[in-house]
Amino acid sequence: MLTIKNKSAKYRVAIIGGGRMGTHHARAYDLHPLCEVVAVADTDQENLDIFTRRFECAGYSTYDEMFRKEKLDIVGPVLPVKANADAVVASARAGVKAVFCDKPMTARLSDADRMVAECEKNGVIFGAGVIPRNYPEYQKAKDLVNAGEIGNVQSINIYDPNGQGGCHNLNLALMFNNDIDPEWCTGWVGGDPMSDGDGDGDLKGIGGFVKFKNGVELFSHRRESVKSKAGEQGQGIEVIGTKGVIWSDSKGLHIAKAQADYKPGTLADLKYQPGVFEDHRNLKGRSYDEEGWANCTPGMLASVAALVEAVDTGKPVRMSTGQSLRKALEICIGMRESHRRGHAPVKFPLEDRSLVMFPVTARWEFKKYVYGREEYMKDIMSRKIDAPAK
Amino acid sequence: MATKSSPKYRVALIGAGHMGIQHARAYAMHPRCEVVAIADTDPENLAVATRWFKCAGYSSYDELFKKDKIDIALPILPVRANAGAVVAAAKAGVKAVFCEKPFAGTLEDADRMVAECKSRGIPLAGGIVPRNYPEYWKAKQLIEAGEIGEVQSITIPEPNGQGGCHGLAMARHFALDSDVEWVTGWASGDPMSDHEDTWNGKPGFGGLGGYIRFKNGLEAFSLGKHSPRHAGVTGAIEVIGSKGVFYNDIKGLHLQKLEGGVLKEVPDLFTDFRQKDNNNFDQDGWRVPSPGTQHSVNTLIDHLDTGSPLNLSTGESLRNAYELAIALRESARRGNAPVRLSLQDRSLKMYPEFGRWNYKKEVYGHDKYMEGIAAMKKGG
Repeated sequence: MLTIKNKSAKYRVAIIGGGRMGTHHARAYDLHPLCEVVAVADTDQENLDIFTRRFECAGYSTYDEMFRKEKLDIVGPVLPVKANADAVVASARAGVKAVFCDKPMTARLSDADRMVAECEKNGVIFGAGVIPRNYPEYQKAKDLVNAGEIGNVQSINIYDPNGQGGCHNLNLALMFNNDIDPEWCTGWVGGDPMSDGDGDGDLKGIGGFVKFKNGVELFSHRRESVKSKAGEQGQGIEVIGTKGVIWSDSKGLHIAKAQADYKPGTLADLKYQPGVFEDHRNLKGRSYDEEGWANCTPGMLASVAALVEAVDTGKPVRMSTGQSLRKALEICIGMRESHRRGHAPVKFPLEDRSLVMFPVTARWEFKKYVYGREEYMKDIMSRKIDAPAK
Repeated sequence: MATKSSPKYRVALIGAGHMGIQHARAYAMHPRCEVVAIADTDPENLAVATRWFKCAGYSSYDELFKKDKIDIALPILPVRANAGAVVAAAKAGVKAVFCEKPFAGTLEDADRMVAECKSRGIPLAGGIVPRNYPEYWKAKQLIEAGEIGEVQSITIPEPNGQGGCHGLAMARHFALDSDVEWVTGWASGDPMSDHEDTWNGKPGFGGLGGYIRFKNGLEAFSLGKHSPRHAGVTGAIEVIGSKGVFYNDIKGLHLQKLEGGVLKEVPDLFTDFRQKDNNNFDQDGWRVPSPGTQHSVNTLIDHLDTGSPLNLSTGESLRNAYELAIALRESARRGNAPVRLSLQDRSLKMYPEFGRWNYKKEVYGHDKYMEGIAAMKKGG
């Protein structure tokens, strides 16, 4: 046995929403030595039955009931986006230490605001999204930037149109710029700017220019290019410092540094630094462990590890947070607003908190209804071979 | 077609500073050209240059054009004098004009220079700028042939100065000279200034960055600060396509193509055009003009002789890059509002650095200036 359900782990974890991703999250907690999944809430009885059987845990048809009956340390709402805001707010009020939801976090700025405010008010760590920002290689890149390896960050290029409220690329850019607030942006979308739809949907990709309050500038290119995809993890980002560059491409992450006596504007002899980053991309196909569980992706394990470390040590959480996702969503909406106003510059924070950017239907709604039961259940069942051949 | 018996092109230099001497020397080296006259308001420069080139000297270009029949005029002047000289050359009925950059101080002047030449069918080109290097035309041809797939975006990895004659001109080059639809821009200094650097104790607008949307749908980003990836390269550029990238750094020009999910450099595509030793002297003691300068001469003469394409930094491309630079600053003046091109207000001004607008002998002093001239020929 890889996992031992001893009901005495340090942190009691509950999942809200026992779908495919909820199962993936839950499995990562169960594999963590300090955690144990003790409860799940799902309005769908079929999902609930499978989940409670697999995780040998309590099941509830609502999270309200679960919070009434269980003493929990960590809650993972892994839900259709439309249900996420209320679930995060309820979790924050339930006296837990940390909430870790998936992305996109929500559609409306006012919802993002109350999610963040409720967590902050209750001193709850708010992790959000299993995304590259959480992965060890990007965290390592951040450490190198913090150590001054590329000098001061001055510009960031994103080579991929933004979707999903900017949770991938913009979120990474925010990390490399210490989550400094944006000052203003100008922007454009690939589709109809009047749409409230998602970058991956009706808006067809969101790009623009963002000036941050510390003077750092962000250029988000409008179209995908050879620089835009680097496997599941690589996001086509380039962080330009005064003395070097860190970027990702199809081979993973890279760093190159100018000569020691380089001064900006003079000839820079940029030297590639080999062997700094491992190829940590989630490129492998799904495999199963000896208990029949689909192996968690390295990104998922890293995300849970980062959250639990923050809970356990009290140090700042080193992952994507509700705060950073809210900022990314606000920038995406700001870019779209700029296009709506004829590419006028848009200042932050956005005054109108009712502005909204919906994710694609399959993320906003319950996937079982969108894709149909059969396909949905196939996904859930694929997380574990329930009767493994011995 | 020119033959051996065709008369040589009669070349006149207007402004015999060290840059003018380099240009004139490059023409003098061309078998189809002879430098026959020089005009300079400064008698000291004129005396040196006429002795070196063994040609007639004039204290004004008006007098020169009155007395000498000129085929190619080379106004290589402080920018403030450039427009007047280019227009006078065009009116004098020359066959071609090659000037230096930055191009002008007002958009009206830039228009006038282009129009006076164009209406007479006189080719106008200028600048020791990367757009005059053959390797960048080769790169453009490769990109047009689809070597990096469909071009998606262009990055200018540094702020723009000098009326955009380097970076913005390069961006336009690789956007296949498409007109610009709109820009959003910003300035490192005071965008309200008409001057690039400090003027009468007031700060200039500094370096210009921005976003450029071309009419053909391409976009270009101009970074507000130098990226060490390219820093120090004149006309630094990165052209990003759906199947590859083209860029330059201090090691030269590079074209990379996607191969099995990985960008791989296509080897031996570009020759190293850069002049590594700036102090090469020929057997007559002349400092050898840069390869880019010599190439500009060859291209212009071939164009005059055979009608081959004028693959150079033309007056029109310099004017358009200049207009683009002004548009970026206008956007900064209007709180980063988008600015549509072409600009309606042609009275807009953008002056280059003080030392480029004015006569360098007055700016930097006599001795330093004359040192620059003396360095152009040994035993001068």
